[in-house]
Amino acid sequence: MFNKLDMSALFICVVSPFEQVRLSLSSAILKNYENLLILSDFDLSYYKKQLLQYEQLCIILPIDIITPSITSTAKSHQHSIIPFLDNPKPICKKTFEVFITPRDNSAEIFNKIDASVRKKKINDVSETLSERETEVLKYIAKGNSNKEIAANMHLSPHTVMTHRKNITNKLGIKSISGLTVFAILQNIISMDEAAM
Amino acid sequence: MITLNTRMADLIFADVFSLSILDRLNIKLGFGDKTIDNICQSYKINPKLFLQIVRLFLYNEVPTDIEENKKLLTDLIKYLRITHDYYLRRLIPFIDDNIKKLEVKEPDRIKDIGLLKKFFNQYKAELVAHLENEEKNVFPYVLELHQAYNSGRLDNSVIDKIRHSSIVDFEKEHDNLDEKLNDLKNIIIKYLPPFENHFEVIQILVTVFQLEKDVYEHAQLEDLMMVPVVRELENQLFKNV
Repeated sequence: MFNKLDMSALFICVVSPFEQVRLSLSSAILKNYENLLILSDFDLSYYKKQLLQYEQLCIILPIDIITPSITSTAKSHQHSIIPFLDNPKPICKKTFEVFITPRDNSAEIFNKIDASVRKKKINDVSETLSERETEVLKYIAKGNSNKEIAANMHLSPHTVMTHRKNITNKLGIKSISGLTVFAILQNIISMDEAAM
Repeated sequence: MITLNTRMADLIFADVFSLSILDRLNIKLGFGDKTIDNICQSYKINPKLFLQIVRLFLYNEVPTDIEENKKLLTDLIKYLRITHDYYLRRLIPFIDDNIKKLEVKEPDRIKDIGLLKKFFNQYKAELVAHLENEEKNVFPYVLELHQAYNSGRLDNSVIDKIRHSSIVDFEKEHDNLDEKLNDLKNIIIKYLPPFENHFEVIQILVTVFQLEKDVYEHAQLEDLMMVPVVRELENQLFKNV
């Protein structure tokens, strides 16, 4: 069945003239993100023609092809730009707070994309969970599936998924057992209630 | 750029954590001005493979030349097995020991340490199951395939295995082993209340970082170096059936 493209989902675009860089970056990114575009070349006209349709977009590209017009286009569309570079140069640190290097592993890349995207989307976001998210977390830690959580909280499974994504983004914890440890440490559930 | 003619000492100066690669290969220090090539020859280690491993470690450079990788396949499997042993014999016990030390030194923190221990034990069980599957099923299959390719003899049992346990299945099953380690880092850094015995906690954390990077590179060697070669061998062998 044909699935309509979810334009509100985050798309990652990786640009590099080098096959090896494209290969290793995309394999690392695909561990955490589903929507990936891989390009060997990139310029402003391609950006304007092909990519402006994406609501949430993060472009990872070599520092030497980033131009001020690319940066300003990204800014006006709330897209993220993350430079990819072999050695973080001081000038780059000043312009970009986040950059990806060849030595980053998938978790580090995930954290950097996440930091960069959230900065663009939400300013001064509180890292504390909302009441709803805390409730979803409680159910997760007790071992409930998305379906069960949706039924208990009278939500759609899609909304539960969104809450789960937000919880992971805020806490930096993805696995069920990791979330359970967090829930116990924060006294959201007791040790006896945990599914661990 | 590190080459076969680089002095082994300079590799350590480039990144001290490359010592972990030498440690698992049982390469001892005190190598004077000997090159990577010299040392590899004297320890009977394939220098080309060593260079690929080091370059992946230092520059995240993935070796993608299938023909070259085909020649390195047997030695690569040996290295992957040595790395499994390194996790189980060195890194995991080191983390375990430091959790035990914390338990002894801070008995009033039994609940927090218990949680940490339980989480790490779950990760350990997943890692061990994953490594066992590779040792018992994946590597023997890859070596059998390689042997069949080299000898040109393809018996029915190999054909059956290609049909029923192709490397494509392995790729699907290749779990995200670094996910839990990233969670563990966050739990220790951000959410566990501070311990009096900070040194043990830092030892645990540094080793988790090291293990996470190593497991990630290990998966890259398997996914991007071994798997494409095996897929090619499967295709080549199947063509002749």
